[in-house]
Amino acid sequence: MTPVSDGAPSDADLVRAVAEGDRRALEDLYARHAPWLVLRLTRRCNDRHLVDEAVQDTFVAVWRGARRWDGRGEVAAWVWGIGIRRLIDQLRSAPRPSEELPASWAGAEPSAEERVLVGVEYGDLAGALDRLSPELRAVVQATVLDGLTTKEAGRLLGIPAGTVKTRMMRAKAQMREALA
Amino acid sequence: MSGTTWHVDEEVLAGYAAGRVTSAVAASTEAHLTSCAECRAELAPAVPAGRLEGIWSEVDQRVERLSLPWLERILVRCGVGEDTARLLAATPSLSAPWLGSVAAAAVVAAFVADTSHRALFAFLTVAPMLPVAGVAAAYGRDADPAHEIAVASPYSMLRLMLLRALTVVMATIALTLLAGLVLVDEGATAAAWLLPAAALTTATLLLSSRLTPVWAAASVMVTWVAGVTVAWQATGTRLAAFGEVGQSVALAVTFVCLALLVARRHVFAFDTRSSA
Repeated sequence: MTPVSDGAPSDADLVRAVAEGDRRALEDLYARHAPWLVLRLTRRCNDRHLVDEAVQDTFVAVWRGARRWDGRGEVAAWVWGIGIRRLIDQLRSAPRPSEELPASWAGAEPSAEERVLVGVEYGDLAGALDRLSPELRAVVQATVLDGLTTKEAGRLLGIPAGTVKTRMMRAKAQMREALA
Repeated sequence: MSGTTWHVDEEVLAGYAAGRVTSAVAASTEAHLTSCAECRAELAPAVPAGRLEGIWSEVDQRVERLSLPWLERILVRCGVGEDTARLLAATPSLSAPWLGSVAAAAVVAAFVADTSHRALFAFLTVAPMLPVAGVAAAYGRDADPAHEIAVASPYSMLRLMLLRALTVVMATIALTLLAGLVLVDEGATAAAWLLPAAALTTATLLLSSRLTPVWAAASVMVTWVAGVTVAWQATGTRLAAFGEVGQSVALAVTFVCLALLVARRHVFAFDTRSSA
C-alpha cells in the first residue's frame, strides 16, 4: 500500500472506473479503503466475523452501486456510509441487506456541532465526551459522529429508537452542564 | 485529501488501530481519516494482510458471479430477487446458444411455411413443441450446472419449476412469435399455436412429477403430433386441430394441468429428478 502519489488515479477516478466494470479498479479501491474500514468498524463491533462480512458486503455494494455515486464529497465518506450500514445489516436478527445506497454521505459535510466536537482534541468538550457513560457516549458517537439516523443507531446499538432519543437528550444535558 | 498539512501523530494512529485511544481522540482521528489518504495508508499495516486477502477473495468471487450472466442482471433489474435470478439464469435452455437454436428453428419453420397450407400445418405443429423442449432441457440433471444449488435451495421445487418454465416459455414464445410474423399472409392463423403451446407445456410439467422431464416432454410431443394427425384424418381438414374446438381443448387442458399441478405440489417438494 502506497500513498496516493502524482499520476496515480484518484479515488474518484477509481469509482468511475468501477462503474464501467473495471475489476482492477475495484481491487485498487479495496487496497486503499479496506484497512481503515476494518479498523473503524471494529471500534463499533467486536465480532471479527461480522466486521469481515460487512467489509465484504461493502465492496460488493460499491461494485454494484458505483454508478450511483454522485461524485460529490470524499469517496472514503461514501465507503464509510455503506460500510456502517452493512454492519448494521449484519447485526440485525433478520439479515436481509437493504438495497439502497446513499447517493452521497451526509457525514462528508460535517455540521457545526460535529466540527466543534471533532475539532477539539484535548479541550473540555473532548473531556466531557469521554466522561459520558459508555451508553450515552455510544449514542453520541452513532448519531453525531457516524451520521446515522435514530433508527439506524438503534439497530447498531441493539436498543429501540426511542431509547436512542432519550439517551441523546441526557447526553446533551450532561455535556452542556460539563461545559457551562 | 490534498492540501491537508496536518496529520495524525504516529503514536495516536497506532493507539487508534489497537483500540487504545479515548472516544474523543478516536472521533478526531476518524474525522481526519475521512479526508486524508496518507493517514489511511499509514493505517493499512495494522490489519493483517491475510485477513484482508481473505475478505478480498470473497468479494472477488461475488463480483465474478455478478459479472457473468447478462440474464441475471436483467432479471434483477426487473425486480426478481437476486437468488431467484441466479437459479433462473442457470436454466440451461435460457442460455444464448439454446435461444439461438430455437430462433433458428422457428425462422426456418416460418420460411418453409411459405403460403401453402401444408407448410403452415408444419409450422403450427412444430411451434408449440419448442417451449416444451425448452422446459424439458431446463430440468435435465446432466444439463443443469446449478442442479445442486437448485435442489439445496430453500425453495419450493414447484415454484422453481413454474418460474423457470414461465421464463423459458416466454423467451421461446417471443422468439417464435417474431418468426411467425413472416407469415403475415395467414393473419391470425399464424398465432394459432399459442394455446396448444400452453397446454403442452403445462402437461409436460405435470408429467414431470411421474417421469423424468425428457420422457415427459417426449410423451407430450408424441401425443400432440398424433392428436393433430388424427384430427386432420377424421375431418379431412389439415388444420382441424387449430380450429375453435382444438383451441377450446387446448385451453381446457391448460387449466386442468395447472389445477393438478397445484394439487400435486407436495410431490415437487422433493427432488423431482430422483427418478432420473
